[in-house]
Amino acid sequence: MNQISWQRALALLSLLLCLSVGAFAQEELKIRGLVKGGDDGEPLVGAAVQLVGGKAIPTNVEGKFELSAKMGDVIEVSFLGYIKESITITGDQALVIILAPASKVTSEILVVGYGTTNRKDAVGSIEKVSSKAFENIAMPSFDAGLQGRAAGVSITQQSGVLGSAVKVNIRGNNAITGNGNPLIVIDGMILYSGSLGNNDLSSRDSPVNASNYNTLANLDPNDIESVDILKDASATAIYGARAAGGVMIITTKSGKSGKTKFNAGYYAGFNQTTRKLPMLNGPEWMSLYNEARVNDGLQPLSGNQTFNVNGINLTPNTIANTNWQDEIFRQGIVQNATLSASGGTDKSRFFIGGSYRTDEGMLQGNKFDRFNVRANLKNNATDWLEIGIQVNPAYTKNRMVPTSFNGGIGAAQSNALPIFGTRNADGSYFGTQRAQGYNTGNNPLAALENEYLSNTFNMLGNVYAEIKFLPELKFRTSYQINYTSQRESFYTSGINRYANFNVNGRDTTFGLADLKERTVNALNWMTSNYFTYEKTFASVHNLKAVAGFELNAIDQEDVGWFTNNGAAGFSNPYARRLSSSIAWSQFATDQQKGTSPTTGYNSFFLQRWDSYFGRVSYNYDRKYIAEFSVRTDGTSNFGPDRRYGFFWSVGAGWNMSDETWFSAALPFVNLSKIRASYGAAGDPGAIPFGWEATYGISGGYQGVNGLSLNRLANPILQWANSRKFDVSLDYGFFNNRISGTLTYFNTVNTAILVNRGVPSSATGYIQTVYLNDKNAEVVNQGVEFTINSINVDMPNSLRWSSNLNLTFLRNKVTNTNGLGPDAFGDSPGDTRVIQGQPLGISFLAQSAGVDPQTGKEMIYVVDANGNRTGAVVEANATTVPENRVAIGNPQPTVYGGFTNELSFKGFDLSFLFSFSLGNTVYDDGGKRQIGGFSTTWNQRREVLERWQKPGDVTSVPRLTSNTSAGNWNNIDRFLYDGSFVRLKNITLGYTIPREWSSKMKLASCRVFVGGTNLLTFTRFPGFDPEVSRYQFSATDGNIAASAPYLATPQMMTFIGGFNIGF
Amino acid sequence: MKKILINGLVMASLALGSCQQFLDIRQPDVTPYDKALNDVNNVEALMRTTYNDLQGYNNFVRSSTMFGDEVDISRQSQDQFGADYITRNFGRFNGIGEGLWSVGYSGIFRSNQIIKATLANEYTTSAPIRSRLLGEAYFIRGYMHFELCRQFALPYSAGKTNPGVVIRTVAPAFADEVQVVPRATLEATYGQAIADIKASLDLLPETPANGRLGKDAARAALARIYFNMVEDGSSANYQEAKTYCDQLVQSGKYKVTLPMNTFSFDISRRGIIKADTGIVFELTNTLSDDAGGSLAGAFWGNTADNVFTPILTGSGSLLVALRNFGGLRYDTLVLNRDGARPYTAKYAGGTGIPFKNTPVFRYAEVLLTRAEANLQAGGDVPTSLADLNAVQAAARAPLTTTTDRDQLLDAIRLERRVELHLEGDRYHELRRLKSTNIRGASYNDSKSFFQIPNSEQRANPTIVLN
Repeated sequence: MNQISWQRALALLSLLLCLSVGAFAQEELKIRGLVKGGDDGEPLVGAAVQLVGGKAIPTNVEGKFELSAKMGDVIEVSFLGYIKESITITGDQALVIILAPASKVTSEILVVGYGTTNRKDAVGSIEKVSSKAFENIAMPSFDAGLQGRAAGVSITQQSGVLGSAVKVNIRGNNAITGNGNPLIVIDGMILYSGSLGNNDLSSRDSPVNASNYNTLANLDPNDIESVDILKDASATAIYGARAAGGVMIITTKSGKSGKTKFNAGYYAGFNQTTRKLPMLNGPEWMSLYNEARVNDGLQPLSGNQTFNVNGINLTPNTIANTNWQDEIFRQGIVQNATLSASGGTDKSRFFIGGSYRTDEGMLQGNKFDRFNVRANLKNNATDWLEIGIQVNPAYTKNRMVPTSFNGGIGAAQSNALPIFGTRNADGSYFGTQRAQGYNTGNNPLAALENEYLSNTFNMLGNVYAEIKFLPELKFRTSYQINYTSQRESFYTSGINRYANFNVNGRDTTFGLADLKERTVNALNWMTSNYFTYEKTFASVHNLKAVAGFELNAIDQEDVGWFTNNGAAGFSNPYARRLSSSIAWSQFATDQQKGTSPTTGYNSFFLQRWDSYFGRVSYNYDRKYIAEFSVRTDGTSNFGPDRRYGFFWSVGAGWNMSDETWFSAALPFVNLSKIRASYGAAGDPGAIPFGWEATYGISGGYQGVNGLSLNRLANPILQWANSRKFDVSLDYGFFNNRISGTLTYFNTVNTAILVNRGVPSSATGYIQTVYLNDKNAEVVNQGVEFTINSINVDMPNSLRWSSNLNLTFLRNKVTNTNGLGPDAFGDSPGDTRVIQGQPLGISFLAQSAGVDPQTGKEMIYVVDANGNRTGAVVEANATTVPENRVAIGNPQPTVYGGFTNELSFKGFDLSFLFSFSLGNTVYDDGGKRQIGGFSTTWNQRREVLERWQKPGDVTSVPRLTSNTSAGNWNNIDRFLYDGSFVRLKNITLGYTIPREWSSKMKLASCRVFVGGTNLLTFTRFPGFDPEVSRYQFSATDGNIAASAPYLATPQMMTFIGGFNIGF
Repeated sequence: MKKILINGLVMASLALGSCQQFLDIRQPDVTPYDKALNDVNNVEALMRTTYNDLQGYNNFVRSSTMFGDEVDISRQSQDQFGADYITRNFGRFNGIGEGLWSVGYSGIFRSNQIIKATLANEYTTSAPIRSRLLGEAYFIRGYMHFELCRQFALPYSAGKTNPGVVIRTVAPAFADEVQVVPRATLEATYGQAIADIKASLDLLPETPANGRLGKDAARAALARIYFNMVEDGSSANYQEAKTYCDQLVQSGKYKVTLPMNTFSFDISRRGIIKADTGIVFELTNTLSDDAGGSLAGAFWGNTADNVFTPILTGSGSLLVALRNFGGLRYDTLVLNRDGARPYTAKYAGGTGIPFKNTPVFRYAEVLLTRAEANLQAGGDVPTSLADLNAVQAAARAPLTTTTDRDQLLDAIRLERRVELHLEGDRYHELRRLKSTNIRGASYNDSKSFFQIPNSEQRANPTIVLN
């Protein structure tokens, strides 16, 4: 028998007693009571205690109350999140009332736009992920921690680079050029989700370090109370124009009235790569190089014959044998410390905390530090006024490293050849000396002498007041600022940078360091003002209404400068950070010296929002629910005639299990609720002022700037429209030991914002127009299935619960307005927007294998409809583009997570598997790693199976050093099954028994060990199936994510730590 | 107290609402398109960017050289697209072709904007400035059409009814104004080029500022275009070419000067320059757009010890021609560090001189064009011989003495090959003269030059492919 029914039985018994006793005594009794929570035994402050028919009084800071009552009176005690208790006064004047926690299945509080609701009354599809998912898990940012936790939510951390971007997709990808990420709201503040995170010194949208960065990495996951993920129209429409990709509402922790509690946590551990890619060693590479020479009709190199590769002169006798992955990967230390205090009186509550994290990552040179402070304060100034503030300054220091095409681990799998050494005999870096022939950039270790720092200060402040005019009418006004100041510097060492001078008639090379710096200041301010009306009529008609408006402005300015090319830089090898040390070299020509050695620049990004919103929720006896919400958004992104957009939703729900006939027929079903919603949200696109044609400064002539039209005008540009339909069944069986949700969803996106190709002969450099493609349509439909179960529940012994969530998703571009595959741009890795195919489908020629006679790579010839004609042809730059077909599936058909939590005595164990099945990954580096030899790159070991003589049957063609022989073409040989199952994290903890910890004067003490990405099951032969491509634009993020190029794999992390409360 | 607070908060926050001007912000760093060209200073700035497109001439020269038989491209370090010059497997994604198409039509697009604004009197200025701006725009529009034909279409000699390129004479301003236009014939495209440049000849100044287009540039361009327009059984175009050459020669403003790499070492000629009598028109460069970086550096080095462009050798090669008939021009070849192979230093700037100008029309070309056009049009031998000898003499090369028309024609063509080597002339000469062996390809092989690039193909279903 569980606790709840035990208490019910007790209440029934009390009732019987009071009936028998009530007849005798009618005098007033002074009752003193204490209210405690049944979950943790802590006093509940502010619980409502009410004599039936009388006025409610709150419990005080110690959870106590006093009132006068007569024998037989009934008092009701209620508190949010607990089941209401009724107690009949039987003469006992010192009551201890223990409230049982309400089942989450029906009463979990959900945060929605401009208010809250609960599971039972909600119509929308909302996933709640609580703090447990983020605490004491070695993840770089909270959003990475959402992976596998919520149905319909796909999370991909771009790579194992520290602070790298996290791609969050709710119910599939709805945008082409727009920002496909969900809207993020922290304590009511709408964050700007644009491109500030692309830390870059040259331009916002082309990250020179080949990695995108996560703007949310400055938020300490331990500050988060919960994340509510809004998925359907009913939940998202109130966020209108920015909600096409769904909404994530983050609520930070707040204090509870009562004794001040302290919490200290610490963990430390190490990071390493999940995998190393099998590559050729030095002698193997050398022998294949010779084989390619022979195939090309040249003589093999003799032992002392000099050859030049990647600008470096070597002989076969002097080659090294370096494993560059071993040089670049390391075990990096991670440490994380947090300290917080929370508590309050009946009038005020607070949560304050600070944390420090230092993470060295798995890549040499990579380091990420985060300093974070938070104060959340609330005060009930009067019984009608609540005021509060949430302040969160955070500072991050990110020492970044090059990856992918830019070097580092990218070079280690490409142009850093195994035949290159790391150092010369004199200790200098190999491959960096001009005397070798050329400065090469082929030594990833030398590149670490450069320093690429990005330091970001982020301040999030929210102050609010809530006024209660009447018990049922409230007004809330809030004012929020999010200020970001980012300072970046990119120092290139003189080891890696050269200039040539004529010194005494001789051409002479000097190392000359340089520096680029950039500061970004971004202010995002917002004010929300809204009324909430909530009243029950005739005890069954429950009405709740919200109406208000919001203003939001984003002003961002970049200011920076860079050292000019050529002869400017640091002549003094000790100088590296002071711009005053930058000058023209003493050897520069007079003409050069006549100009400035540095160039400055600045740029702006502005956006304004003017919004009005409202929502009406009605239910009859909490059984039949209806909800209607609207929002009008105006934005400066569009022209004066198209600024305002209207968004809406309708929803309805039916708590079927509350019908008496239902519970009579199916008594074991505790919850059966059907709900459905339909409505429209929008996508404002990622381009500010995208409607407007303007002339901007451009390349000029004779040293004087010119002027150039930036785009063609489109005054009718407006919102993309996202129509969302959702029907769900919430279920719970056997006292809700088994519960979950089954959902069908269908999102139709129309008037999609696209950059559509125009004939470049009309406009030259302007090769696309930015418009709403009226007929273009992207549909996401699917089924979400969640099951939560309590498998074993033995009081004070073993408890085991699981959660499995599955999302079956089908994403399809149903209409491209009759335009062909290349009309929306040729995205990297040959991913495309093609009618009838998922967004970002691979568009590749199909490999017909290697001709056993000639050893050439062959492809299938296709007709105009993409059907094979039966003929095959040699792959080359002419044949491959003409024989491409849509192939693969860039998005998984099923993804999700499987979480298990076990506890036994003081021990607890939890683990999460996340998985992604049915998707393909195009390994964009594959064409040069196993394409048939590239003399400038190292090769994957598969290349050892190459064709060598007539009759050989293999998939790797004859080796050649001729780069146009077809071996750099995008063909489906490099398109792989990207399915994987990964043990995302596992934690084993032990909570020291209370009697021991109290001896140490501690309220609680838990020690734990854990790990992230410890196991991966996949057939993907590339580096890591769970990475996405760096993005040069939002479009790339939507289209090309499944085609990684020289990927950086995810990190494996092991940690151990403790958590103490006092 | 309560009332004051409530009223204050509610009023203050409501006062913020419903202000539509809140959204009326503009980009701080740009000019609205409908106002920009109301100011002649902005039109001048747009014209500077149009000249910037014309500086893409470097890349047309480079590409023409790669198509031809002057350099040993197999010994160049090439990217994937560059390697297509070797195999001639030019696909729609060839990045070099894409770049040339884009730069050519960018110049045309911007010229069209200027022509439109000028003809609609959107800005006010003096008559000479208006005339110059219009003339420059017509010139660039016409000349770009011609250069695009040379990279993306068959030569005129293969038949003037073959497809040329897309003719564009309208600048769209709105997204829905973009028109899909098919390729015109070669005849129509060349006709457009000629009409535009003839219009510019009326408008351009006789004496332009340094590095700016003048009437002489238009004359030289017309001579070059007509000279390329070979028609069987007609010498009318040669006569036209000769006419424009005559105008340049008779002006007396020009004389043949030292071969190119000789003056390239003249430091005073960097950047904005003093006049050179050997040059009819050149683009003057600065550090950021130097020919050493784009014209030379892109595929041959621009420092003395880093010269990477290998010349083809062997019988009938440029090397042999230079050795036997080059004079000073043979001296532009150097040996690279690694030994015997000859490399060009024609575009070598030399240490400490990292940039140079881009000559577009040189007087030597005018004389050689006139020498041949004169003979082709039935003119007299002495005129042609004198023109040829003037060029040879400046290079201190052996002088031709023959008076036989055919031998003289051969000598002029040989001299043209030597004098204008690596200036993007040779490939078009081979095509003009219907060579069937341009590095193995015939002049009328439509696979031997760029395919129409993807940026056009994907949005223009009418495009006929090469």
